Amino acid sequence: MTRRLVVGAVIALVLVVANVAAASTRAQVDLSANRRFSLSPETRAVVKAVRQHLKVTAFMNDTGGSARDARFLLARFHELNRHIDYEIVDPDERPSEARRFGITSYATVVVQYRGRRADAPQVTEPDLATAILRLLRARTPTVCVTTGHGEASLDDDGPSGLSKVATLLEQNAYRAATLDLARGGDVPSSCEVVWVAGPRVAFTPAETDALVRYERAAGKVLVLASPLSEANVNPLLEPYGMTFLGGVVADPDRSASVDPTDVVAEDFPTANPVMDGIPRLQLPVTGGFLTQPADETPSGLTVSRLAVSSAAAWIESTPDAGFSRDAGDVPGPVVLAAAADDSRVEAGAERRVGSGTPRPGIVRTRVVATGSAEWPTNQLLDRLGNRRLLVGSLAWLTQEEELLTVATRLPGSRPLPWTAERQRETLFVTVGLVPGLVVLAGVASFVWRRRRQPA
Amino acid sequence: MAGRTDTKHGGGAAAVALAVALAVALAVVLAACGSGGDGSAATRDTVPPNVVPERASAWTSITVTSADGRRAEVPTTMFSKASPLLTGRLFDSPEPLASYGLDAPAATITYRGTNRVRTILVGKVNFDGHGYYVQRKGDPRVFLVPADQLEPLLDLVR
Amino acid sequence: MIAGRELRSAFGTAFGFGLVAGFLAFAGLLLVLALRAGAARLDDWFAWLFIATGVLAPLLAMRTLADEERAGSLELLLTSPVRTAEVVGGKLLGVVSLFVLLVIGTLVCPWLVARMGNPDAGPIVTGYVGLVLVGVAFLSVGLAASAATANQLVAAAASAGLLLALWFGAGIADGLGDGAVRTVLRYLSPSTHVTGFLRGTLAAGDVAYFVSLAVVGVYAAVAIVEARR
Repeated sequence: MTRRLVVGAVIALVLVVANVAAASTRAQVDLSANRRFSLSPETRAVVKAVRQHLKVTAFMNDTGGSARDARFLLARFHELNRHIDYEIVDPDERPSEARRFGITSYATVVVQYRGRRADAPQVTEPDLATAILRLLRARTPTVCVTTGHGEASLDDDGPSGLSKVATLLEQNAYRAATLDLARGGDVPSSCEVVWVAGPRVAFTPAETDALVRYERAAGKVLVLASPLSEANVNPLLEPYGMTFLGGVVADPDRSASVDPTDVVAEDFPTANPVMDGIPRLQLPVTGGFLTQPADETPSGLTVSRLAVSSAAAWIESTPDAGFSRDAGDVPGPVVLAAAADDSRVEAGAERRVGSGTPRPGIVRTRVVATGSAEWPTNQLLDRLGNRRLLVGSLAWLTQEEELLTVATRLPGSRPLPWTAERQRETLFVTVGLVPGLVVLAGVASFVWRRRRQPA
Repeated sequence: MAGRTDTKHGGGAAAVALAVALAVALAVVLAACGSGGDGSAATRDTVPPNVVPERASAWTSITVTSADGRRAEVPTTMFSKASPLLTGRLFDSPEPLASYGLDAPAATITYRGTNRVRTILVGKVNFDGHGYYVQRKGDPRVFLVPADQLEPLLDLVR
Repeated sequence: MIAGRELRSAFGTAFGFGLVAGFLAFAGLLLVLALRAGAARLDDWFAWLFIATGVLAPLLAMRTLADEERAGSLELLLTSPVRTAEVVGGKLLGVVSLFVLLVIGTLVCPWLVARMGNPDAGPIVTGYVGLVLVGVAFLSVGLAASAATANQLVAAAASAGLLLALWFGAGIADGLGDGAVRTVLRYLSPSTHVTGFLRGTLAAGDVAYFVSLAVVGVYAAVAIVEARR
C-alpha cells in the first residue's frame, strides 16, 4: 500500500513537472494553412515591445468559423504579452459600438494603444502585427494630397469625394494634409507620402518640377492617373520604368457590370506586399501602363506589375467612337496598376547618433501608380479589395513592411455552398452506405460463424 | 458456457446502453447546437425563424405607417415581397432598443388576416446598410432583415 | 492476447458491428449539421465528436474490467502468470483498438468534404490526432472506473461523472476570478486543451495533458485492481 502511494506520488510529480514544462515552452506544431496560428519571430518581437495596455477589437460576426479562428489567433497574442487584450464585437448585434468606432465593414480590426488607433483589415498575423508596429513607432506619417487641379476632396462626402479616405487615414495613424503647389516652392519635408489624387487639369511646369525633385530625393508618391485627365503624370513615372498610356481600358471578360470599362482586376502577378490579401479590385474608367521589363531596368530599380487585365482586354484609343477592338488599339493583357522601388546608395544619406559625420546610406524612391482615379472615392472605396489597396500602398510607401516578414498570400475563406444535393449525397454515403456495409459485414460474419459451428 | 452467456447478455445490455447514450447525445447536439467547440462563449445561430413566417395568401391587408404618420396600403401585387418576411439574423438584444432604433421605430408594418394580426416595428439600418433592425410587437427579440426586402415597402411612405 | 480477446468479444456479437455502424451514422449526421454553415471546415464536426467521445468512452470501457469481475473471470486472469499492469494494459489496448476502428471509419467524412470543397488539411490531421488522444485518455478514466466496480452501469456513470466534472471545471473556474485555483481548474479541463486540435495546431501542453490523463487513468486502474485483490 505504502509502495503504491509512493509510486503514485512520484508519477504525479513527474506528470505535473512535464505538464508545467510543456505548457511553458508554448511549443507547438502548426499544420494549418500557411501556419497562420503560429507567430513569426518578427511578430513576436513586435508583440513583446508592447509595454502598456493595447486593445484589439475585431468587428465580425461572432458566431462563424472566422470568429473562432480570430479568437484563437488573438489568444496567441495575449499569451505572448498580457498587456494585449482582445474582444470580438458583432457589429450587427452591437451597433452602438460599431458606430462609436466608425465601422463600415465586417472584419475591421481596431487596435488602440496609448490613445492612438490603427486599423487592420483582417484578423491575421501580418495585419495585426503591422497595426501594432505602426502604433509602436509613435509617429504619424503625413500624407500630402495634391489640390487645385480638379482632384477629389478629402472633405467631400459625396459619391466622388474622398471623405472615407480621410477617415481611413485617421484610423490608420496617418495625418492628411493638402498640398497646394500653386503657391510655388518645394514639397514640404513633412510630407512622407505625396498623393497625386487624380488631377483633371495639368500641373504647371513649376509644380511638376517640384514633384519630380521631391520624388528624386527619396520621395514616396501615390499617383492616380486617369484617361479623363489632361494632366501628364509621366514625368513622375517614366524615370521609374513606368509610362501611362492614353486611352480607356475595356475588358469585357472582367467587368463589374455590362460596361466593359468598369474593370475588375483579378490578376496580380507580383510578390509586392502592396497586393497582399487583395482578392480583386474594381477599377472603373482606367487607363493602362507600359512597364519596363526587369532586364532593361537600371540597377537598383524594381518595377512591379501590380494588377493586370485579362488577355481579352484592350486600350481603346478612340473611346468617343465606341468600344470595339481594332488595329489602332493596344491589345491586352494591360497593366492597370504598377509600382516602382528605386533603391540607391547616396553619400551623406545616413547620420548616426553621436557622430556628426554623415555616412553613405540607402535611399529609396517608391512610386505606386494606378490607371484609375475613381477606385478610392466614397462610392467605390469599399468595393472588393479597393480599401486594402489603399492601405497596402500607403504601408509600402512608408516602408512599414520592412520589419516584418513579407506576408504570403493568405488563403481566403473556403466556402462550400450547402445544397440539397450535397446533403443527400452526404447522408447517403455517411448514414446509409458505409454503416450499411458495416452491418452487412456483421451479418456475413454471423452467418459464417454459424456455418462453422458444429451442428 | 455461463461466461459466454454472461458476456452475450452483458454485450446486449451494453449495446442498448450505447444506443441510448448515442441517441441522447444526438438529441443534445441537435437541440442545443451549443458551444463553438472551443470553450468560447460563442453561441451559434440556429436557423432563425422568419419575422413574418406566413405566406402572402394569409393576409387581407398590409399597411405601412411611417413615424410621421404617413400611411400606405401595400398593393396585393407586393404581398409576396412583404410576406414571408425573411430573417437574416436574430439577436436577444444585448443593447438598449435605442441602439437599434426600435425605441422610436421609423415605420410600422401591420399585417391583417382573417383572424390574425401581426405588427412589425422597423428601426435603423445596420452598420453597413445591408439590413434593417426589426421587432415583432410584443417580442423582445431583435431581428435583422435584408434591406432589399424592406426597401420597397418603406418606399411607399417616403 | 488480452487486447485481441476484447476485440473478438466486441465483434463476436452484434455489439461491435452495431456500435461501428451506429457511430458512423451518427458522425454522418453531425457532418451534415456542421456543413450547413456553408464552409469547408470540420472544426465543428470534430468538436461534437470530442463530446461524443466523452459519452462513448465510459460505455466502451465499462465492460472491460467490471464485466470480467462480475463473470468471475477477472480473478482467473489475475492469478495467471500475467501482471496486473499487463492485464490493464491489454484491456486498454483492446478498447482503444475498437475506438480507433470507429475513428478510421469516420475518414469517409473528410474525404467527402475534400471531394466537394477545399478544406484546410492541417486541422483535419490534428483533429484526428486529438480525437485519438482524447479517446485514449477518456478510455483510461473509464477503465479505472470499471476496475472499481462489478456493475457496468455504475462504472459508466462514475467515469461519465468524472469526465463531466473535469470538462465543466473550466466554466466553474471562470467564475472564480484570477488566481492559482482558476488556472489549475482551467488547465485540468479537457475543453481547454482541444481548441488547438480544432485549429490545426498540436501544442506540447495539450498533448502532455491527454497523455498524463491516460497515465493517471491506467495507474489508477492498476492500483484499484491490486487493492481489491
